[in-house]
Amino acid sequence: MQSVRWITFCVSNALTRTMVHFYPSSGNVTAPYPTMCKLSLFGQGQEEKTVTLEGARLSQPDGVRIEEVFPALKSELSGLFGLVVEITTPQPRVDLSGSLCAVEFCSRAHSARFWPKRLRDENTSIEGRYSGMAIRDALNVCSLLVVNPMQKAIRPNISLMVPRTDGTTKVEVENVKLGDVPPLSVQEISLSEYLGDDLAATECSFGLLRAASTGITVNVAGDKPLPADAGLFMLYRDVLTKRPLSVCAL
Amino acid sequence: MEVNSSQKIPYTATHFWISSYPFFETTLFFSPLFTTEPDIQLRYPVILKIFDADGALVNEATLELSSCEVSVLELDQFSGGCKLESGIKYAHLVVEAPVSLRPLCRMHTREGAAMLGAPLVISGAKSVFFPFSLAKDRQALLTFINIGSQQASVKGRVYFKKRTPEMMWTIPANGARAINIQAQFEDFIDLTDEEQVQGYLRVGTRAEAQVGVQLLERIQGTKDTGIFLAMS
Repeated sequence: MQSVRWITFCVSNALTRTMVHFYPSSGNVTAPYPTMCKLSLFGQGQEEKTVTLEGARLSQPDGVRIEEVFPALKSELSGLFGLVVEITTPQPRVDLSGSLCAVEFCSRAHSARFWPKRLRDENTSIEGRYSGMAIRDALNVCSLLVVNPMQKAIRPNISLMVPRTDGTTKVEVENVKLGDVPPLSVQEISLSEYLGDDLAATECSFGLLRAASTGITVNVAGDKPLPADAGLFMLYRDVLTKRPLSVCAL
Repeated sequence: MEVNSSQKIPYTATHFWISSYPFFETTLFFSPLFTTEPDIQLRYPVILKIFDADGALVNEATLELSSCEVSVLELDQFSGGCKLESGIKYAHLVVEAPVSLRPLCRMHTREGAAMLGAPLVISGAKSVFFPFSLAKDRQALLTFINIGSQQASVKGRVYFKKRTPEMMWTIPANGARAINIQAQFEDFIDLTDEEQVQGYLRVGTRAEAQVGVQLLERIQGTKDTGIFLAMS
């Protein structure tokens, strides 16, 4: 495999910047063969732009600030953007499947780092089904990030298994009503608001915690829904400052 | 409908590095896979095994958890028997649970929390990397758990400015380790001039060992507390 791709999202505003770190790796091959990193940025108000960075080497970690690659993020644009990262090598016999990519949201006093979602190989089928965990307590609120890298709109369907209590706990399915996510865009959907005070809570040393298992299906919008290729991320934020603390790719 | 399940269901073992003192505490979540039939609620036995830093089994517990509700466990109550190693109380947690109950860890202080999946596993030719930042108020902690029953040797190389020093560490069978990067590479890391410096770590193992590895960063906060971040 001479190329590996990941899908992620990035944040750009006055307080938070994004870095992409990558590690081209090929197991036992340790010779520093040249590799390239291609970054494709998209989002609402931002046409898809692709930049290829040269100079990376096999087995040597490296990284780049996104606003250095896309200078519009320094001044004109702010918000959430979709990003596809691809590592390639011109060496024909080098298998890059052991490579890794990490994303970091940097702010003055804090950072959040996570592993983005590896995009499927062309030969594997699109799953379109995901499972995650929504929580709300004194430390975290959470939301779902949907990144649509396709040229078509997609329709996420979110259902939560919420434990309701009236003395005994009963788990019910609650469906979240959503619109379509436009082509080449990112949408954040708050899930904590579905974990209200009517849900059964667990009493912990840090306070009450409410949580629900979450099922998500993603289809191409239209009359005949087909599973869609999308990047889904559970984003856990600080309750008070709302800064991102951790991100889990689904 | 609530049923005690005695059916044969596929189980899997997940390994975590956990800590309870002095920097952060650990909470374990079990997130069930979504089902459209939550009325059919089963209870699955889940086994927890806690090994101390040197690989000795210090606690074992069997719990019955719901197939539909998120279950939450504060791990402090299970890790009391673990000893301090390098001033930190930490352990290797093994969770044996049905594949439909995904375990997740959250490490937290009073000022922040980080949700974590299972650590990346290095074995044979498979190496991993971590970005880290160092500053006067930041510490990077590289944590290991040895999944195998043989002692494992792990090699770590730091990429910091133009230097690339390398070190080896030994992780006892079933044991765990926490390595302070700044202290381990102090001859190569000089932070007097710069406020915050970016570096990378590349970690691998030479033998056919299986070792889980994670990077935590602690940022000194106010009033002797701290916030931290971890790769999730």
